[in-house]
Amino acid sequence: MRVGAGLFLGLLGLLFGSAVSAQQGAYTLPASLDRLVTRSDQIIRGHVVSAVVEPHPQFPNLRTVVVTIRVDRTLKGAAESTVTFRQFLWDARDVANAGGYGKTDEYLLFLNPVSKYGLTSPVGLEQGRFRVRRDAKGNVSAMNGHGNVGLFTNVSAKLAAQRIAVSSGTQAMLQSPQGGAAPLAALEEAIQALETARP
Amino acid sequence: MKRTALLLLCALLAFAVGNLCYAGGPLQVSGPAAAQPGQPYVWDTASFPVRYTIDSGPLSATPEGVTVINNQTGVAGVAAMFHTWQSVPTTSISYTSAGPITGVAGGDVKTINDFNAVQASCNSAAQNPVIFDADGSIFSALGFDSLTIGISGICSANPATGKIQSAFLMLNGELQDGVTDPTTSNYELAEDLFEEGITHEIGHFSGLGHSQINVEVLNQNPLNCNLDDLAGLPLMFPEIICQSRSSENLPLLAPDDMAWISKLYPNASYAANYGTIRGYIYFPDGVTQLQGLNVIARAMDNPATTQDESKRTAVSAVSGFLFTGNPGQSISGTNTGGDSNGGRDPNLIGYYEIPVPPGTYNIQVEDINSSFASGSLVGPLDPPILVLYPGEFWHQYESSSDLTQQKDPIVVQAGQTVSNINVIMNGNDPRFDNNEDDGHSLVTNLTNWITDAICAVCAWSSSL
Repeated sequence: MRVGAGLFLGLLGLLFGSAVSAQQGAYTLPASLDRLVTRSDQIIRGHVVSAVVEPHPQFPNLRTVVVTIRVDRTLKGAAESTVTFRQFLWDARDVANAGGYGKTDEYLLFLNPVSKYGLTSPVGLEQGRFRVRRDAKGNVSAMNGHGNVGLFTNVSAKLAAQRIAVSSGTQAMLQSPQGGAAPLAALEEAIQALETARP
Repeated sequence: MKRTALLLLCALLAFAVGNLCYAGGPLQVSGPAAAQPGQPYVWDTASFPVRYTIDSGPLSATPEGVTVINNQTGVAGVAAMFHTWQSVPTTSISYTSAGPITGVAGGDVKTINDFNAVQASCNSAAQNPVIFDADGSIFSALGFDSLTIGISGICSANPATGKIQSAFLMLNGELQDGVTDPTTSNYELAEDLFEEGITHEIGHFSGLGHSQINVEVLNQNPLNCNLDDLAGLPLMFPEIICQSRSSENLPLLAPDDMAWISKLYPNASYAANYGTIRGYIYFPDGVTQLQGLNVIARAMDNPATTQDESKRTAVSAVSGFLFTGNPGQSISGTNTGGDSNGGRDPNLIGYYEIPVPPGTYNIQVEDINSSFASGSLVGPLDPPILVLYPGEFWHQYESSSDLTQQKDPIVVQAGQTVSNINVIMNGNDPRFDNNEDDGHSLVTNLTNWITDAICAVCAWSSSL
């Protein structure tokens, strides 16, 4: 039983571990969850169906990745079963790995508004891109490309100021001072609460 | 125990198929296509100074188009940031402005059309452009938000020679326009932190990856980090954290930054000012090399001073930093050859080497912080390896059961290489044994089964 669970976990690790690093070479201001929610045009969770690297149709020298996500949940923006977006890749290493969007990878994405040239990216780049991981015990967690460092700064205070209550589990997550993987359900509850708190 | 071993093995496999880039010293390492695999990608020293072309427009302007930081100031600022790296006395890297960006009207990159044209010339290694996006409109057109301080990228590199051929840098002037307006998401960043951010990006432009030293700053007040920690914190640390160095009269570059730019591009004085500590990190079996741990050479603290030299003078590398994080596998059908980067010589697994100024050091081994994945990556494994062993220091009688805080001094002279500073991690799991079994795991497994059986009986009996 233990061995079986270990193997299962390991296989999960193999699947999820196939994500590759992405969007190197960008320095961004730290973004709290509040800022991610506020800045995003669309917040979706789903699985990568495809990620194809191709030149921008209008600007052929700009390398882009066209990502199609099968949406499991929409937390902000219009609900759609699939979302396709085009993201600029500026580094040769990212071109080689499709910006790190591996087929079947599961993500929670905070997407910027699409520019008039059809381009978007996660808010704060890696900060707005959360990898969703599921373990053999059914625990589901999410962590962004900055390890969730500083993610919950001032979030509790904002919710308290607007008298928006969240569950004790979510409150505990928001009080955690350090980064690290966050329980997906609590994270999504916090996102919804912040979305409610927006003016 | 067996479960843990399996987890470790599977985790290793998972990590082994999951990465494309390197850090903790070099940004990228040459792969199988190179004449010399396992070498850092660097600019060709014969081409020094690296010639960058620079935007002819203002560095920063308000949304209404009023210049806030003019071109002359911007050009001088960028030159100073390049000079920060160039002025390290033991490096040969140098940079010079080759004049205005070519290929766009007046050398002023103002639109995504202009950016597209400039990218073409960067991709073909015709120029290394430094672009001022004065009002953030190019970042916006590219689908970015105003949180981006700057980006840098290698436009082209030669996998056969391991040479960087061209790179670019773009600065977001919106963060310096003097306007703070949350309704339009227009934010400001203090000038000294902006300078730190862009100088960090120039580190990547130059071929440097991220470094982890004094990682405890992540748990400190970000506006008031401990000064010893800040003094030794590499500018190439993955995150913006802490008060600015200039606000504490600290140099922009930490010893780690200076050591690694010198290691990648040593000048004639390098050998007279640096030595090397090198060795391997091993699993507790003492023979299996362990990949992906952070190794820090810390100067011995001088008790006669109020400063903590072990925090301030520290240089790091990641074990196995020259080996690929993705050797390939044929099972999935999509990863046969693995990563095009990184050496395949098994002798590079778990190997580290650290350039240090002459002095007396301790070697510390620790995990890469789990936060440092993807864009914040440190070392060849993304995400960082899940290590079940406690961090420890090197001492001369290394074993898997020694005291983790026991440490012996290592004296390094200029020009000297101190080898075989090998650290055996503590723990009961001997290694990733690739199905080989010394019997220990079998006994442990049997113990687990028996324990399970007893628990099951207990649970059954208590339910009666």
